[in-house]
Amino acid sequence: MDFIDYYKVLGVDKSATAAQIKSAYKKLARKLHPDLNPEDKEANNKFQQLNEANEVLSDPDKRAKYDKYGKDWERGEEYEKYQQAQQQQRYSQGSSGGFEGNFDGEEDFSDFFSSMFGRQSGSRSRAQYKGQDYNSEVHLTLEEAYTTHKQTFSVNGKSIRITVPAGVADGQTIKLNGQGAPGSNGGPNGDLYITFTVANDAKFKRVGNDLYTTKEIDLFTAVLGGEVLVTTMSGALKLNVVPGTQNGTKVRLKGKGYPVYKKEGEFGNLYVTYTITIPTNLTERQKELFNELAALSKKD
Amino acid sequence: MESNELIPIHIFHLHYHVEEAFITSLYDLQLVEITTIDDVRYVAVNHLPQVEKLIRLHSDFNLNADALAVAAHLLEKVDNLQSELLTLRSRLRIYED
Repeated sequence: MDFIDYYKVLGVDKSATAAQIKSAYKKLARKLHPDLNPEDKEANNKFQQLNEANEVLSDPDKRAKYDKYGKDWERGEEYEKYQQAQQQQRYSQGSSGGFEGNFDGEEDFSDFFSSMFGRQSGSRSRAQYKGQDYNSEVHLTLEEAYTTHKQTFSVNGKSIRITVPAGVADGQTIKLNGQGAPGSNGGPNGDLYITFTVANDAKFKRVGNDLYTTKEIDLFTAVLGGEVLVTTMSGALKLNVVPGTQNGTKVRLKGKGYPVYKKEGEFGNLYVTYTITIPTNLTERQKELFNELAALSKKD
Repeated sequence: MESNELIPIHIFHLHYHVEEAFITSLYDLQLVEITTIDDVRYVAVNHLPQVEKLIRLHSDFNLNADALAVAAHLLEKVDNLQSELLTLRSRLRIYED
């Protein structure tokens, strides 16, 4: 459990007045509020720390305790408990006037906060609110995202099994209702947002539902035409190469691209770009024939 | 739509501590959809996350309905730009790899 410098979090001096703390908190909250920074984990974490900092520094009792023990808060807590037992006094609680909503439930407080002030100190009388939403990332290969499949992963120590529909996009986020943190004061559970990261692979590049690949063809096939085998995500395919195919020629294979998300049987296109390989290490006979061909071309 | 997928607006006051008039002003600005059945006005459950977001912004920042309309519009623009960014990044990767 790391010590959190709440003054640093709020960007104020240790001698800051209550008004300065309130002002600093409001200013930063406007910037870091989760509703204004959707899917920004860093902003969400900072907002959590900001709420904690405000919870402590805007309450004179908590601030005094925090100032008293500072970095030694772990030992300070033990001493405090001892004193409390001796005097049989209860630690006073009160509202700090912090932001409400589904971000500042007690589950949102850091271990540091909970150890120092207890899990209940952050709660207060308020409206029913939905629990905190959780965010998670799932990494898939292009091949994995090509088919609908089941995947199990862990979020906040809870194992979750989901069906990943074919064609899920890189960066796409899906929502699982009610799989987030429990609601406060009887409110509904939060939701779980899963963001997929789909890696391109060496063979195919994906843009939307279309796939792009390259196919090397030899000079002779490019000049005279012929057949080549092209690998698609659903298997190999025989293609006719027309005579006189130029380097960089792009052909479109309709419906051989990536599956369209949640539209069974619909696929994007596959674009194959031909790269023509020029023969090297020619035999004497081959050189002779190429020279002959070159001479013929000059005559024409 | 099934009745269990609709939430009567007057319940919002109990759960979120906002006046019915506030929800009506959100409706007037086309920020939420309201369904009226037998003179009772409802919000669909699937619109609840959007309504909750607006209520949070309203209570956390003291934003009135007009300001919320501006914020919602800008957030929608951010969302669209992020989608566009993702598409452009995947397109760019073709040339970078």
